[in-house]
Amino acid sequence: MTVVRMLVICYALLILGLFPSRAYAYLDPGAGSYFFQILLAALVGLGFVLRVYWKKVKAFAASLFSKEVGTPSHGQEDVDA
Amino acid sequence: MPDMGARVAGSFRDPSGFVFTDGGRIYRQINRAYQDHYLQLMSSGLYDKLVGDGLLIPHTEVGTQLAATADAYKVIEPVRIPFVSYPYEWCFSQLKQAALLTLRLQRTALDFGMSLKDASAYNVQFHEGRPVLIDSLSFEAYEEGKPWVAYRQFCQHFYAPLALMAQADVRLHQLLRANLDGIPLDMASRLLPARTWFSFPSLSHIHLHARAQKHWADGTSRSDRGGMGRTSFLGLVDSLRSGIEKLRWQPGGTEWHDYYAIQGYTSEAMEHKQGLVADMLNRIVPRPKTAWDLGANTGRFSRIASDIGVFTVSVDSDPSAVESSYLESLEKREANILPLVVDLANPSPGLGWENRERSSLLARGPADVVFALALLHHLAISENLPFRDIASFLHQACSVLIIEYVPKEDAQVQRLLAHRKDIFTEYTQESFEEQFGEFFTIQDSVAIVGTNRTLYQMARRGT
Repeated sequence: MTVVRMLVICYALLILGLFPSRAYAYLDPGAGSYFFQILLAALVGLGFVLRVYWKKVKAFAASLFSKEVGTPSHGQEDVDA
Repeated sequence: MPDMGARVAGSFRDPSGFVFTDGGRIYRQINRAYQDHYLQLMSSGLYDKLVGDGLLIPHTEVGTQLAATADAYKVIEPVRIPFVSYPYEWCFSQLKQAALLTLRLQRTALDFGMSLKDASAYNVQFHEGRPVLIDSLSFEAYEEGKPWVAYRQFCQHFYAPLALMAQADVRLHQLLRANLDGIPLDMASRLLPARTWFSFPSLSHIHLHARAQKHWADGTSRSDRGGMGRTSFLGLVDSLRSGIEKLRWQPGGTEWHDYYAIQGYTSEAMEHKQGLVADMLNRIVPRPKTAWDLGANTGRFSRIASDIGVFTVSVDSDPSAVESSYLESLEKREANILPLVVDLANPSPGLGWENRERSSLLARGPADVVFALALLHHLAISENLPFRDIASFLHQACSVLIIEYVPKEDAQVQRLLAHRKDIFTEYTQESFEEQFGEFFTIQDSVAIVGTNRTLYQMARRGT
């Protein structure tokens, strides 16, 4: 009896797990805003990557130079990527 | 189980849950539809991170027996905000900080696989002097590839009003009173000066965004055209962040900002007045928990109350004065003062659906004590309000009133009367005491040294 009950519970949990309830965003994103930001994000995303990449390059270069003059190198600056 | 009448008037749009009151306490019901997102918020570490950084209001879970409807998954009790304020009452920096908070929340959420599903300025409140997110149900699981559903709302609630305040006129925050879902972008685009077309953030997030909205107004087709990867998403959020950071506004130069420099209190008189206000405040029994300082200017007297632990709402109609006061509160890390921009002759009304979504100023009171210092003559003379009407208003706002009577001979009143006919025959101290006496019992009155003004302490009559 308990084994059957356990199996029923496990089965029920499995079903629930397979079909998680979704809270659909209630907010109207606005059709124009939706498409516009895809375009904009593609553009600024590239700029963002370049900026992050450039910071890493600068930090690496700085650490190279400080090693050359024998001072302890600073850790790579904390890049918010 | 409380009935649906307990639901807070402004809380109805989100099917994930809603806010309701029960026994004088505030709760948030989480519906079953939101269950997975809530579990992710709590178990992923996002909740702990945001609460730890002071960005999200903490809550405790309480039993579902308190739930208001049958589809409740859970009920939580968030820490209570002492005074609810609205974006149309905030000074420039308060709105800017609220905007940067929202972007920081979004940025952090992505690290935990979540994203904000809305970006409403009404989800932010000031708690202990800093903006916090109060809607714990704003987070949803992030689906890579999908754009930010809240982008439009962020631009309307935050970007547009801030750009207008910084680049057109600081008073344009008043447009938020008429537009409860933020300023329409086509309107903002039209009002912003031409030079903003040459700034990439304004160009993209306002001008081009507004045109895109119009162009794709009936975007029923091509619903799967392109997507937005995580890096692009981060780029968008970062672009908004840097755009907002660059918006700056300098307070000062307005009539009220340099008030203390020109209004002629000697330092002796100022010290005496400050001492009197402190004495009167300390004499109030029971000890007041909340104070409203009306016509507070930069909050010099508000701080007499807030410094001793009384939560003080510091109200003035001048955006410069409120801005200075808020910046001071940030610098000194003050937790008990909330400066707000409100015109007492036209204070925030009830707005939104049934005029109840956003409450009027008086509905958010009364306060235990109100300061009406150097205010009376502005209401009586500039606004032509009889003393009785002023007393009636203040009667609704407080239990104890500390008010400064400014006689007609005072230099400030003479300035107000300089270019107009003196029709104020009832403006006398006897008349003041008589008319206020209908609403208040006068407990004490003291002449302020070095001036011709009198400070009164009064207690309201009746319930």
